[in-house]
Amino acid sequence: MSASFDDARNTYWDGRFKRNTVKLLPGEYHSTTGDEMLVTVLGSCVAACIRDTRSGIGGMNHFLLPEQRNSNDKQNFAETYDNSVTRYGDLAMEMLINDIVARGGDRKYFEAKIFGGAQMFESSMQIGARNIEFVKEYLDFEAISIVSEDVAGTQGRKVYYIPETGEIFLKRIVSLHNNTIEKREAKYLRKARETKTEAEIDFF
Amino acid sequence: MAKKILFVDDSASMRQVVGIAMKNAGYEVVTANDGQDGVSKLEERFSAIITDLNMPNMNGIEFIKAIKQNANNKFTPIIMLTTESSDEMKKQGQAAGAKVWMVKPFKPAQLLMVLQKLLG
Repeated sequence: MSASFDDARNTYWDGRFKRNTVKLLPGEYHSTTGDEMLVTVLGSCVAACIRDTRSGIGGMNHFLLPEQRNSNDKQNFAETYDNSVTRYGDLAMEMLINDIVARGGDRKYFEAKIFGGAQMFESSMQIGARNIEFVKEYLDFEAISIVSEDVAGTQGRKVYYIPETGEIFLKRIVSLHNNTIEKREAKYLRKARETKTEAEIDFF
Repeated sequence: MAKKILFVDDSASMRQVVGIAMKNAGYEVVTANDGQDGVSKLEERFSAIITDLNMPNMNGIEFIKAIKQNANNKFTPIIMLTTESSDEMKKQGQAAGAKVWMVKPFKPAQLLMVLQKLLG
């Protein structure tokens, strides 16, 4: 695999919601045609929750952009495409969207909800903000409307998403004594930065 | 005359990015947003066709099969540009008639290099 972006495999039975639940870690995505619930914990990372409103087929991803964006990024999307920021973010979004389409979701009926992008520690301010900016730009470009969002701020979030119904349950994480989220995201950031950004090419 | 390339991908941002990169390199670009849309463009003869794999309506493999049935583009070299990297899918692509398999993420410069290699 050239990309550090994987389908989530960590599942459990959530007794409170009475649903099979898939837990997403940073760098993962998952989509479902069934009644599963998806859950993730976000600091400065973002999660896009996308579903086909007609069939209820949908899913979630969890990622951050590994590099700084240039201030002129917005002016010319294509010229700055060689910057791995856009490539990595594109991949995170495309893998989720492809997975939903492969399960029978129809892009025409997609809606999105976006979460995360907090300022978790001092230096992460721009990380959170540019993650939010990227997701919004990407969805706008793909003509997928954002029907709700809970982004930025300084607190982490635990987000439960039920693609079948489109419901979100969101818990704010009030200053923890440990720094599990930061540590997990920092580890993921290192991994994302090592992701190969050049294509493997096979000539047949 | 500029060489004409057909680029098929369901992602609007991908069509924009790749389209601009190829135009800047002097190619003429026609885009389509899935295999079915791609088939509707095959009345023209292209110098090369670049296609995504996972798309609604008609996927990349079915699209390649359709190209191979098309009198104008039977011999047009086809590049598969996809997030899919499994050997099994690559084999299917090769069997259908793809000439090159490129796994996203990629640099536009890499795609231009491949085009140059195919088209001289």
